[in-house]
Parts: sequence; C-alpha cells; structure tokens
Amino acid sequence: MVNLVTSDNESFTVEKAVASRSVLIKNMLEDVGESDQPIPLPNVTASVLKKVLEYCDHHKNEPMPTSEDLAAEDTRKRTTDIGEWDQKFIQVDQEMLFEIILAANYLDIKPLLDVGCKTVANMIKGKTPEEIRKLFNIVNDFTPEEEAQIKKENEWAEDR
Amino acid sequence: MDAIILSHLPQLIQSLCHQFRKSDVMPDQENVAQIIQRLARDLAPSYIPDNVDLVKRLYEECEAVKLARNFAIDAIRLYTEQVISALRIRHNEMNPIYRLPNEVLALIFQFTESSRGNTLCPLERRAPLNLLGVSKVWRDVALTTPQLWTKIDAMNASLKSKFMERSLSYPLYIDVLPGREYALSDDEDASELSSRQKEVSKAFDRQRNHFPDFIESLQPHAERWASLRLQGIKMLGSHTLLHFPVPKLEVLHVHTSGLGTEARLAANTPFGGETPSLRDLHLAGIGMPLDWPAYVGLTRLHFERIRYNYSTIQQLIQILAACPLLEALALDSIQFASPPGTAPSQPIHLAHLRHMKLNGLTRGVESYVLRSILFPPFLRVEMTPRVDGVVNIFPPDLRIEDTIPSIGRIRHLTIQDQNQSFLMLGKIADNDDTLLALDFETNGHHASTLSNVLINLSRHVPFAALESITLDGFDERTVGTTPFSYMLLQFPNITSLTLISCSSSLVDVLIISAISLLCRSLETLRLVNMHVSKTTVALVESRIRSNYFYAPGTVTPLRRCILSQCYGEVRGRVPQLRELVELEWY
Repeated sequence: MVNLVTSDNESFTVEKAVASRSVLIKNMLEDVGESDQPIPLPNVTASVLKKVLEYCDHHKNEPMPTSEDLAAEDTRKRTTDIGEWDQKFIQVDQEMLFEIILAANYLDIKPLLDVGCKTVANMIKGKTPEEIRKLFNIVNDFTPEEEAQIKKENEWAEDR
Repeated sequence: MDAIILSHLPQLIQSLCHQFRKSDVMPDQENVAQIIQRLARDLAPSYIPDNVDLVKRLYEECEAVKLARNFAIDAIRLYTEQVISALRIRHNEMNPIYRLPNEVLALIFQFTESSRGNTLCPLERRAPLNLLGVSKVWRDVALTTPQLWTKIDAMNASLKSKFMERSLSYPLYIDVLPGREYALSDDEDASELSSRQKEVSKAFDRQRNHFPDFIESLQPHAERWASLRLQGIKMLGSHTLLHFPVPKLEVLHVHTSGLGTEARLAANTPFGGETPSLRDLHLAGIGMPLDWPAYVGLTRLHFERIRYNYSTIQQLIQILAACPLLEALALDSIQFASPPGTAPSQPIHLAHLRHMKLNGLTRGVESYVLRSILFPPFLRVEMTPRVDGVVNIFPPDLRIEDTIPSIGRIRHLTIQDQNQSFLMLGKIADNDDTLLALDFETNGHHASTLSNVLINLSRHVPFAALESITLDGFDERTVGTTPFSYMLLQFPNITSLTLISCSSSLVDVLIISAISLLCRSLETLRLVNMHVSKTTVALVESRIRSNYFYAPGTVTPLRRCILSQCYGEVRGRVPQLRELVELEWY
C-alpha cells in the first residue's frame, strides 16, 4: 500500500497498482524503494485526489501507455471520443474539471489528462469566440486595435 | 509632450476612477453631459490667453488648441484602453481555465482541431480559427502551436499561406474531399450534419476547377506532405503533374468515379516513384500499374474499381509480399485481363493482417488470393462471393483451417436470408468484432444458391470452435428441410441454436427420433418471431427424453428454451414447456 498526503494535509492509503497509474508516483516509488514514508502531493487537494484515485482504481488493470502509444498520438488520428465510464466520471463542474486536468498533468497520468482535455475540447468545438468566452466566463481582453486586426483577419469568414 | 502626458494622464484617470469608485451610483450619460457642460463653463475663461490681439495669432491659437485636444483625446483613449485591457487580462487570469498551463491548453486545442466534424464547421466556428478571437492568451497559444495549422483542405484553401507560415516545418495533411467524407460524432444532430456536409460539398463544387492548381501550389512544401487525400480530381496517372518526390508522404488516397483502366508508367512517374514513407494507399477508379515503386512497406492497401490490362495477379501478390507489415487489405471490384493461373506453391505470410475485404472480384481471383497468403488467427475477413457458392472461394483441396486460422476461432455463426442475398457473420463472442462476413448476392438463383452454399459451407469450412448458430429469415420455400438438416448435421457440437422468423417446418427437423439426431449437444433453443404449437412442445420433449431412442449420454438434454415475440399457441403451450425446461418468455 502507498500513503499519499495532499496539500490540505489529508492522507490517502491506496494500492500500489492504483497509485502507480501516476508516472510521477511510480517513479518516486521506484526511486525510494520499499518504504512506509508518505508521499507528499503539494499540488493536489484532497477533493481532487479522491476523484483522481477513483479514475486510477477503475483503470488499474489496464496496460500503461507505452512511449510508442504516446508517439502515435502525435498523428492526425487523435479523436475526442471518450469511453462510457470516463464520460460519466468526468461529468463535474468546470472548476473541478480544470483541477482534475491540472492534477493529471502534475501527476503525469496521460490517459486522465486526455479525458479532461477531450472534455474541454468537446465543449469548445463548433463555437464562435464569443460563445467560447461566455462558456468559460472569459472576458475579451483585446484592445480595439487588436480587435480591428482580428476583424481584418476574419474577412474570410464573411466571404463565405 | 511625452512628459506632460506621462505626468498628468495617469493621475487624471486614476483620480476620476477614484471619484467614480467612491460614488455608489455610476454616472449615466445625462449626468456625464451635465458635468462636462459645467466644467466647460468653469474652465473656458482661463483658456483664453491675455496677449492675443492679432487675427493671425488667434487662428494659430485655435489650431493649437484643436491639436492639443485631439492629442489629449488620443492619449486618453489609448491609455484607458490599455488599462482596461490589463484589467481584463487580470480578470481572465483569475478564471479557472487560465490555471491550465499553456502546453495543456495547446493539447486541448489540438483535440478540438482534430475532432470529428471540425472540418465541417463554418470557418468562424472552426478550430483553430475560432480560438484566435477568444483572448490574448488563447491567441498566443493557438499561434504558437504549429500542429494546429497543418491541415489544409477545400474549406480553408484561401488561408493556405497563413497555415503554411504558422505550421512552421510540421508535416502537412492535405484533403480535397466533399462534405460527405467528413462525419460528426455520434452524439451530434443528423440534420445539422447533413446541412454542414451540404455546405462543404457546395464549397467543394464551387472550387473544383481550382483544385489542381491548389495542389500544385503546395509543391514547394512537398517535403512536408504527410497525407494527401483527393476525391474527384484526376491528378495521378500517365500524365500526372505530381511528379516530384514526397519523402514524408504516409497517406495517399485518390478516389475518382467510374472504372479506372490501368495506364502504363510514363517518364514522369507519379511522385518520381519516391514515396519511401508511404504506408496507407487507397486508390479507387485510378489504374496505377502494379510496377509503380510506391507499393512497398505499406500497412494499409485498398484497390477499388480498377481494370488491370497489363499487370497480373501475380504482381499483386508480389506487392503484398513487399508489404510484410500489412494490416488492412481491400480488393474491391478489381479485374485482371489475364487469367489468374496457378497459385504459388509457397504462400506468403502476412502475419499482421487484421482486416481483409474481397468484393466483386473476377472469377478465380478470390481463390487465388486465398491460396497465395497465409493469414494470422486474428484476421477479420469480409467477402462478397460470387453466386456459384463457396466451392470456388474455398476450394476443397485448400486447407482453410491453415490458410485462415481465424475461422477456426469462430464460436457464433449467424446466417441471415435477405431475399436477394444472404449474409453470414462469424464472431468469437456476441459483442466482438465480426471475424468472417460473407455477403452472397443471389439474384435470380436465390433458393438454389442458398441451399448449395449451406451444404458446401458446412462441408468445406471447418468451424472447429462453433458453439452457437443463429438462422434468421429462413423460409422452407428457399431452404428445404434437406439442406437445412444437412448443414446442422455438420455441426453436432453446437450448444445453442436461435431461429428468427423461420418456417416452422424447420423446427420439425430438430425433433429427435429414431431416424433423426441433429444438434445432439443442444442446451439452449431460442425462438424469435416463430410460430409456437404442439410441435414446439414435442421438440422440447424429444430433446429431454431422447433415451427412448439413444443410449444415455448420446444426447445432451435441452436445458433452456427462450421464446421471444412468438405467435400461435404461445400462452397455451407455455405451462407445458415450463414443466419440461427452464423457460424464458417475453
């Protein structure tokens, strides 16, 4: 078993197979060898780690992505399809969604990072810039000069 | 002037902002006008210089005041716009999505750009173009992620130069395809899909005449081409304009309508014969000769609607031998002018082939291909054999279990009679991919063909692992009880039989008697949309009391009977059936 300690000082004891879905933790475990020492995760809160561990537990028996898998992903075959379980898992509010993505990035859990990024990509696709801003509560921070430049660039859109 | 602006303007704006922040209510337009008027009254006298006594000097003073005003307005506008922009940037920085590092944002953008349906979007909604207008950070990330700018197609052809510049030296993916070639994801609206596809097709048709020039204009970047997919443009062939090397080209799909007749290679060989990276080749209606040097090291090969006047099937097999890592092979409506001849004594081994489709081939070609190749056990085979049945496809002297070992792994076989054709599907499990799909067109000879195929299939194809058979739509007028019984006789070890919408006379042959013993291991019988009568009860009873005729252990007693959407005497017979076996009825 592995003991993980979150930024808000909560401890999680999990199976090694579950914790090792994180390449960061896996490497740490390999570096320190057999040890009862808790592993601090200063960038992850308890509520987020709980969710991340739920994902890791569900996928613990799946093969880890190889470097060849990761290289193959650089091709045009990248899709935004998400498995059924993963879709349900990632149905969270935006705040939690971005926290999960951040945690997956920090903990180096590529499949979870992809699920999070695909979810955001699916939210974005087919939307205008204004619709995207509204979706994520982003404000338009372009100066009028920049806006004019963008409008000029976008004259193609009015050609069609 | 700079010093004046720098020393006074920020102070002026900040002081005013301070005043506005202090008041509970922001001044509306009316209030602002009143304040300005009051200020103008109070300030006006102090602006007139004392020593202005000449007309000329008065005019000059007016011009100076106007210039000062315009300068001050511009300075205020620019300064306040920058302040507002900075405040908005700060606002965005506190937004949860802004916590994502740029490389993660870039990954999200790449998923958005490569998502299904993105190509169908109007440009203002299509990634990466829509991402540029969201905010400064998004714009910077989109512009500095070259992978987002590598896909050039009919819809963004007018922006080609921007895509070229922003994609830096990354591989290019060039598509000239009509809308129907692009699909949305399953969860998207079909009517929306259709209208978007029509829009793209309209744009495609509008620009069709310009595509050859468009493709040629990309020649200076030929060393970056990774994928080229063309539809409806004849750019390959004996007089191709594409005669330059494409060292990184991995995917080449060229699709034109009609039958492509083989042309001999001319001096200007397509791509100069230099396609060392080519892995996925799909030619439809384009008759490139089989001595084209491109056919080496492929992992996917698709030939469709081609008549080879000079090349031979032997050359085709040589090509396959030069592609030992081939994963998918499709030969669809391929004709050879020369007869196939005798298959090679030493078949080639395609150990990685996962999917093979053979459709509409000239007589003897299917058989030649099957005899010439050794296939791996995970191969999925899809064939549309000619009506003269399986004998020609799987000749009796061909050891199919060795040639196509995946057939030996099939556990579930479904045969559907579809009036003008019939379909055979073999799987390992219900929810697995189909390992064998045979689609027989039987126009005009349906009954005789179906019977012939059923007899020959069971005789020549060793379904060693077969556990269950589903027969769908079998009518006694097309499949007599004799071929039906003969087929079942070849599969004594099946444990499950499903009959869907079949003639009830076919059920009768399953009754065990002194002279009939079919499917002796049958444990589960499933009847769907079938007539239920006393014969059904007799069938079930015969299968659990077979020791009237046979020694114990000869026949496995029927354990389970499932009736689904059946008709006839269902309600009346259910109690009797329940007494005999475990019954499911719905």
